Amino acid sequence: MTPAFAPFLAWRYLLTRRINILGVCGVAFAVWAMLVVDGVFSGFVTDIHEDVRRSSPPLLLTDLPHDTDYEPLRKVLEADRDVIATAPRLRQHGMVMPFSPRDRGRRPAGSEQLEFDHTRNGFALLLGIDPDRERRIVDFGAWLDGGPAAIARYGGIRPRATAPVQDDPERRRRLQVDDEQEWRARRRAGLPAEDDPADHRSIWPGMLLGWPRVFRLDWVQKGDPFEVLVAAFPRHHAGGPLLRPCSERFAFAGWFGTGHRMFDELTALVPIDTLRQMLGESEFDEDYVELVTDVAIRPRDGLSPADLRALQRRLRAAAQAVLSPDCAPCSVLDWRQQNTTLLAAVDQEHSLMQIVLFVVMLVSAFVIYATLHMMVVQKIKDIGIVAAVGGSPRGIGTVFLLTGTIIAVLGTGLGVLAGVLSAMWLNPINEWIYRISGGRLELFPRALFDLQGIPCHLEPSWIVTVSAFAILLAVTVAFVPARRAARMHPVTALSFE
Amino acid sequence: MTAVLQARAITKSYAIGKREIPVLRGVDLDLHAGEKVALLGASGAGKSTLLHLLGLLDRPTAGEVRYDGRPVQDLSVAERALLRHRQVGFVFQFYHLIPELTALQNVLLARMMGTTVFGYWRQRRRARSAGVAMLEQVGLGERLHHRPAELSGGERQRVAIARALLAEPRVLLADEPTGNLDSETAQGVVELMFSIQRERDLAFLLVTHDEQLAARCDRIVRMKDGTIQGSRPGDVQPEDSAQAD
Amino acid sequence: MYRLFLAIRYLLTRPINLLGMGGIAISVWALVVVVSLFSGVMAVIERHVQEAGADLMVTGLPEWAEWSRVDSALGDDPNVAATAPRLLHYGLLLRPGERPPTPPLPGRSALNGGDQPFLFVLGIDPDKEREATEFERWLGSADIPPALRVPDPDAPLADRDGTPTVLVGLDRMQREGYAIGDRLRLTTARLVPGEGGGKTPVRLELDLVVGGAYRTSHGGFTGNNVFVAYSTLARALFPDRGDPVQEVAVRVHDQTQLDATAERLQRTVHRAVERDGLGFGQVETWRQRNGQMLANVAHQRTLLKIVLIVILVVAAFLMLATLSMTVTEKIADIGILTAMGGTPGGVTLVFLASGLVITFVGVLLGLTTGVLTSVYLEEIRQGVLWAFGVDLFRLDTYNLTRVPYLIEPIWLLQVTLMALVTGLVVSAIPALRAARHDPLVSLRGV
Repeated sequence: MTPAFAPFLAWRYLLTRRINILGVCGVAFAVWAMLVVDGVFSGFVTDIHEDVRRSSPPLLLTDLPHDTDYEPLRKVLEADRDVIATAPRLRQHGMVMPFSPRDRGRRPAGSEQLEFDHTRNGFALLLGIDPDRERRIVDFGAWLDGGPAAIARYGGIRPRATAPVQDDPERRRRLQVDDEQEWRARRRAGLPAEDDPADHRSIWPGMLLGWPRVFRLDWVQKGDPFEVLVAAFPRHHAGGPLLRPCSERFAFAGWFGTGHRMFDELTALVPIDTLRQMLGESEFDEDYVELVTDVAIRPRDGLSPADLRALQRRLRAAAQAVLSPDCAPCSVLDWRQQNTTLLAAVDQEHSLMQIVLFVVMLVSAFVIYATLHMMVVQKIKDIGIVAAVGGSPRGIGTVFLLTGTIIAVLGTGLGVLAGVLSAMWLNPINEWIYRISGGRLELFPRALFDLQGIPCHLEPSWIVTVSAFAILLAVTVAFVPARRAARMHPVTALSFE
Repeated sequence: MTAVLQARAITKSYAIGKREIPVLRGVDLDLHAGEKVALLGASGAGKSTLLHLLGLLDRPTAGEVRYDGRPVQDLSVAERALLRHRQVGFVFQFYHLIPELTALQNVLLARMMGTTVFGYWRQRRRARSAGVAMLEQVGLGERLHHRPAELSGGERQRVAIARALLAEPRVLLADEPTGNLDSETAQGVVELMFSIQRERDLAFLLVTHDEQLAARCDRIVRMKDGTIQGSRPGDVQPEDSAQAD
Repeated sequence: MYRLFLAIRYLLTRPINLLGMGGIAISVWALVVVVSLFSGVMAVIERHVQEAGADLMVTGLPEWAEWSRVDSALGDDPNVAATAPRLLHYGLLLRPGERPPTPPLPGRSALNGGDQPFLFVLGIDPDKEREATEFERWLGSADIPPALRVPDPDAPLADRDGTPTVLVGLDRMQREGYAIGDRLRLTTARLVPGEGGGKTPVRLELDLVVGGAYRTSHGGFTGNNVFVAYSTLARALFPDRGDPVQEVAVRVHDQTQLDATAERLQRTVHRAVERDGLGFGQVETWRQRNGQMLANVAHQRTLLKIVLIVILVVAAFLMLATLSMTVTEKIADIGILTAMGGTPGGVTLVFLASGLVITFVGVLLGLTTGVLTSVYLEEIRQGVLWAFGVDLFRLDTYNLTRVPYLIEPIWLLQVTLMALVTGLVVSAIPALRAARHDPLVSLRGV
C-alpha cells in the first residue's frame, strides 16, 4: 500500500528541483546511445546474417566422402516429408584465368595472399550447380541481381548482367550465353568464328563469377572466354587415384552477389555436368556417377527450430545409411553452421560493442544515484517533517524510490523517442553531412561496409530490453538512497542542519 | 476521565560515543482533552525530547507512553506513524514546511498520510476544500499558492498550524511556536492556537520560555535536568524564571 | 590557498563526489583500453605484414621480363639496398598417391586460408632473398621445433639426392605430419602457346622433398606459400628461358622515403619492361598492398572511439549533477567567506577547483587502470575464459599468440585533454551560478 503523499511529494520534488533534469538527461542520453549504436551495429550484423543466410542453402548435407553419387542421396532425402527439394553441388579448387590471346601481361596468380582478398590471384572455389534445381533451394535470381547492384554501388558503370535465361533447358543447364555474344567474344579474342553471327551456335559452358572478382577484371565482357584449371583424381585409374590437371574453356556468363563477402570473392559458379566431366566422369561411361560433394536441401516452410533440428538429425541418419558404412560421418548443417568462422568473427565484435554500451548504462545509473543521493541529503529535514505529520518510513522511502523511477521512466521515454527519431533520420543526416562537407566527412563510412545506406535495425524487442534494463537499473540504484531515507530517525532528521 | 495522553516513568538517554547521556529521568505527565499545559524549562532540560516522545517520533529508553490508556511501545513503526497522523499535530519553532510545496500543498500533505493513492484520489475535492477552509481559518485564505519562501514568519507558522490541525488530531504539541517571531506576530499566532484549541477541545502541550504565555495555560509543568519539578496551575517559581531565558 | 583547501574539504566531506570521479575514471579507462587494443591489433597486423613481406614488391611482371635487366634498372636507384627475384606458381602439394579432402566451405575455412591443399609456390634465391627480406628469420623462428628446422640454414634449398627441396609453412607441416626428407609431389599446369595464339595449360608435376619448416608471423602468408629454389621453378616453367622473373622483393635503405621510392621505381620498371610503348609491372609498398585491411581496422577503431566518447558525455552529466548540488548546498558559505575577507569572485573559484580536482584524480585513476588493464589484457582474457568459458577476443582471427595492445602516448594525451576540457566546462557551469549569487542573500539567511 503506497500512501498518497509518496507519489505527490515525489512528483513535486521532481518538478521543483532542476537538478533532476540532469538525471533525466543522463538516462535519456544513455538510452539513446544504446539504441542508436546498437541499432546500427545490429543493423550491420543483421545485414551480414541476412546476406550469409541468402548465400547458403537452408540445409546442406556435407562432409561426404569422395566420389559420392547424387541419385541415391536424392532419393532418401526427398523421401522425407519435410523436404521440398534438393540440389546437387560439387566443390573443387581451381584456377580461373581470363583467356587472353594478346597477352596483356596479366597472369592468373600473384602473391596476393598477404591480403585477405582472394580475387587477385585467380584462385577460385569452383561450385558446380544445376541451375534449375538450385533455383528451388536458394534465391538464385537475387544472387544474379546482387552482382550488378554491388558493382554499381562502387561506381562501376556496367550493363546489368542478365541472368542466363535460356528457353532451351539444355543450354540453361550449361549456363550458356547467347550465340551472338559468344560469336562476338570469339571475334574479340581472335578465336576462330563463322563470318556470319547467325551461323554460330555457342558451345562454351557458362561461368558466373562473384562480383568482387569481376570488379578486378575490369575489362571483361559477357561471353569472354576463361580458362579453368582443376586437378582431377579419376576413379577409373587402375593404379589408384591419378592426379590430372585438366582445363576447360568457359564463357563469362555474368556475375552474382550474395553479400557474403567470402563467398562472393572465392566462388565461381559453373555447370555441374561440365565440372563432373573435368573431374573424369563422363555421362557415356557405364558406371557414371553424378558426383556431388554436398547436397543443398530446402525444407518445408514453417518448421520450428526444434523440428528443423530433428529434420537435420533424420536426414543425416538417412544419408549415412546410403553411404558406405566405413566412411567418416557426414553432416547436415543449417546456414549458421555452414558459416561458423565468419559469424563468430562478427559476433565477437558485436559483443565487444555491447560491453562498451553496458559501461555507458552503468555510468548513467551513477547519475541517477548521485542525484537521488544528494536529494536525500538535502531533504533530510523534510523526512523529519513528513514523519512528524505522520508519514511512515515506508512511505518516505517510496518518495525517493518513486522519484528515481520517474526520472528513469522519463529519461527512458525521451531516449527511446530520440533513438527512434535518429534511427529514422540517420541516413538523411549522414547524407546531409556528406553533402555539406563536400564528401569528406561521413558519420559511417558506407563504402567500407559495402552498404547502400546505414542499416539501422531498431528491433522492438531491443527497445523493450533496453528500456526495461534502464528502468530496472535506475530503480535498483535508487533503492540505496531510498532505504537510507526510510531508515533515518525522525528526530535526527528534524534537528539536522 | 482518563487522560488522552499519558507518560509514565519515562526515561530517555542518548549514547554519545561510549557515554550514556541521560536526558529524561523518569517523567510522568497526563494530558487531558481540552487542557492547555505549558512546559517550561531551561535549554537542555529535555522539553523537546519529551515532546518527541509524546508525539511518537521517538521511543523512550524506559517507561510508557499511553494514548487513551493504551501503551504504544509495542506498536510497529508504521502503526506509530499512523497513530501520530491521526492523534497528534506538531507545531515547531522553525515551522518545518517543505520549501518545494505551496502553502496549500503543505497543508494537504497531512491529509495524504493515512490514505492510499486511490483513496486520496476519491476524496481529493473534499481534502482540498478542507485544506482551503483550514487555511482560511488561520487567516491565509489569500496566500494559498505561495511557497514558504514567499511568506513571512508568522504566516509560515500559521501554515504549520493549519497543517497540524487538518487531520483533526486530539493532541497538539507545539515546540516554542513563537520563539522565532516578533512579539506582535507571536501574539497573533498564540491567540489563533488558543482559539482553535478551545473550539476543538484539544489537548494542548506548549513548550515555551515565555512565563507570561505559560501563565495563560491551565497548568504549568516545569522541567529541570530531565525531571518534572512541579505542575500546579498558575504556579510561577522565581528562580526558574531567572534561568529560563 | 584557502580555495584549494576548501575545495578538497568539500570533496572529502561528500563521498558522492567520488561517483563523478569514478565516472571520469571509467570513461578514461574504457577509452584507453579499447583504443589500445585496436591500435595493438593494427600494430600487430602491420608488423606481421611487414615481417612477411618486403619493403617494396614489384609484381605483375610479364613473362618476357628478364631478371638481369630488371635488377640492374632497380639497382641504379640510390635508395634500393637489395633485390631478390621471385617466381610464382600455384598447385596442389600432396604426398604421391594421396588424394586431398574436399575444400572447406567458404564460411567454415580459416579466415586467412592456409587450410587448403591448393597453395602457392615461390621460387626464390635464398642468398638474395636473405638480403631483401626477413628470410633468415623465417627459417630461424623460435616456434619451429628442432626436428623440423632446416638442417643447413646456409643452403636451405639445396637439392637432396638430386631432388629439389621445398620449405613448407610450420602450420601445414604440423597439420599434415610432414617430416624432413618426406617426398611430396606438386601438381600443377604450365601454359604453353596453343590454339589461336592463346595459352593452353599442360600438366606439370614436380617431385620435391621436404627440406624443413619456415614461419613468418603472418599466418596467411605462411599458410598459403611454400618455397622452392628459383632454379627449380625456372627450369620447370620456362625451360627455354635464361632468367625469367615474375616478382621482385626490394629492400630500401631509408624507410621514410618509401613512398617516393615506390613512385620512382614504378617509372624505372615501366621503362625496363616496356613493350609496344606500354609499361608493365606494378610497384607497391607493403602498406599499400595491405591498405584495405589496415583501413578496415582503423575505421573500426574510429567507430569505437565515437562510441566511447559517449561514456565521457554521460560521465560529464554525472559530474555536473554532483557539482551543482555541492554548489546549491554550499552557496551559503559564499557569504561567510566574503565576510571573512574573500572576494565573491574568488570564492567561486573554489567550486571550479573542486571540479578540476575531481577530473584530475579521475583522469589519473583512469589512465593508471587503463594502462594496467591494457598490459594485462591477455591475463584477463584467460581469466575470463577460465571462469566463464567466454573468449572475449579470438586470437586466431588475426593469428596472434596474445591479446595485443599498443599504448600511444599521443592518445593518452588526447584523452586527458578531452577529459580535462569536459571537467572544466562541467565545473564552470555551477561555479558561474555561484558567482552570480549575491553573498548578502546567504548572510541574511532564508
